[in-house]
Amino acid sequence: MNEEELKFAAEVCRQTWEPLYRYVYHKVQNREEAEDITQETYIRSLAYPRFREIGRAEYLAFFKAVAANLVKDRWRRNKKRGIQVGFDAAANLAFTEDPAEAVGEKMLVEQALKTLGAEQRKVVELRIIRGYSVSETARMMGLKAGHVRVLQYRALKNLAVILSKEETSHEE
Amino acid sequence: MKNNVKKLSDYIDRLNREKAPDAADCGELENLYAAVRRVKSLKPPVMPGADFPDKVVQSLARGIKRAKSRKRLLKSAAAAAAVLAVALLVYFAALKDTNIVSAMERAYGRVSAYHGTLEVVFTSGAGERQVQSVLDVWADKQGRYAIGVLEGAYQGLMTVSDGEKVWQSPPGEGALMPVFSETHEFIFELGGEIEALKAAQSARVAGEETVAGRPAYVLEVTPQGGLPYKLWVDKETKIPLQKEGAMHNAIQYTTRYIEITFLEAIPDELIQVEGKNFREADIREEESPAPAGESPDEAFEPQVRVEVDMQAEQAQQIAADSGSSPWRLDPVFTAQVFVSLQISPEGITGEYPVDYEDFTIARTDGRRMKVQVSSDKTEIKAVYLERLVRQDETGIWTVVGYDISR
Repeated sequence: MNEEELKFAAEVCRQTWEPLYRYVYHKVQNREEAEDITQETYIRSLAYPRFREIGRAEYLAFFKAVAANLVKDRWRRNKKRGIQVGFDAAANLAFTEDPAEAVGEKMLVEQALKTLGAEQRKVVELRIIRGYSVSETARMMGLKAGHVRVLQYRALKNLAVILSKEETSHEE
Repeated sequence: MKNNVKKLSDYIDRLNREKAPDAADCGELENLYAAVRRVKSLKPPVMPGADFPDKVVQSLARGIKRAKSRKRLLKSAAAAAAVLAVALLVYFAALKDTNIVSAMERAYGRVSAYHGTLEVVFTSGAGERQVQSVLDVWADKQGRYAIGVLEGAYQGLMTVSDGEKVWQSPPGEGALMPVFSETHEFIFELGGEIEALKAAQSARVAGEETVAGRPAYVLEVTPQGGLPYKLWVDKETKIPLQKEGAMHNAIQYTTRYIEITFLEAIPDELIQVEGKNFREADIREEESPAPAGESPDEAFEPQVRVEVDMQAEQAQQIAADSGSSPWRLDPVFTAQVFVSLQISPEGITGEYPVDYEDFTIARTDGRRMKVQVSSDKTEIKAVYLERLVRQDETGIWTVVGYDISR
């Protein structure tokens, strides 16, 4: 990579990294993977021979398309290492770039949480939204750690079903 | 279930620590993990450190170089195997059909679009194999495609189609550049291959081989018209990976995907040509060229016609593409050699009997040329040449006739 190419890459990266990182993070929900995939997206995209033919205003859209494929590739690779996984579930993890759709997605998840029983909702809020450990959650809820794990497993199973149903009715 | 309870809890712990989690190894966990991510998305994202953009820029110089090298390395079967194993295995559930053609049709039915690296290999009659080009291919079921030449004579050329029209960049002045040996058309489009197979006179599984590291069926196909060919079909995914034409006129082409990934759609940016340096091609004109003999033009009509061996010319074109016989790309030099050989049919040693300066281009339309000869060492006064194999600046010139002094 010569100096001129590196300058160009640096400029493009500095202008677009934040929205791209947010996009990737939304999909993977952890910083480690979001950083890796964001970085890999730039490497792959800028190595693409015809990258400079893409309009400047379209860079971000292009990066997002590449990133989305990298996320999918990662899930596919993961599935290969495992046994058998329904790819649709991963593919259906909707990312909503449109602000209105993002609000709709947030409302959908919040509504789904409200339909859970009080104890299941509590464990999901403490463990995932507030990020407490199993032992901290157990202490706060006055339960044993094993009970918290089973409770969160049942809560998320219910949640997956509710979200799936709500999506279907929303589409109808 | 007990195992999944623990795995789910571990997954939540990993996300809470902002670390990459272990992969789901069953459908139930995949659904549960997706639900966890959706709940966690209610929280704002955890942003990287302030030095992240600098780190990315620093890694770009190293990474882009690595990525470009990777493209080259992919030519090796081992690397291709690794990529294919990842990309193909997981996309398609194992198909159990015994009828290979219907299984391929079903498999392709699940594909919306794909992105692959396609290698075009030329094999000579002597068995020498040479990679003619490596192409970056994006295609979808609407017939849209974007093909970039990564390696080969047209490196950097981009051909884009929206399913009806075709554009190329950089825009040439003449006919379309031939991306695939002698045509701009996308010759190893997966859907097209399956349709051709369905319409074939016969197709039979002749054996099994490994291609690009993947176990594959080898199909021997006899089309309704044209020469028979072989098609390698991935045993597990039922997607065509490689096609080998028959050895014809001492030339054989093999096209194969050394990397392929299946997508929901092609990025629109790749198909949009507006405002970019593309030229729309008149495909009809290119596909129906008037044969030279049927549209006589006196300016290019020689007194004496020279018989042309098209087999030899095609082989010469391939040689020129690979850097051999570059003089065939120079019409004046080609004319000089022709005239010199008329004087010394046994071969030329030392200086040419007629000087290069004695030849002058009298007329050309880009495809045909008349070269005037001004030398008293030969009776030939003009040499007529044509680009018979390929009609652009990479096409070799062939002597098709000459005028003699009366």
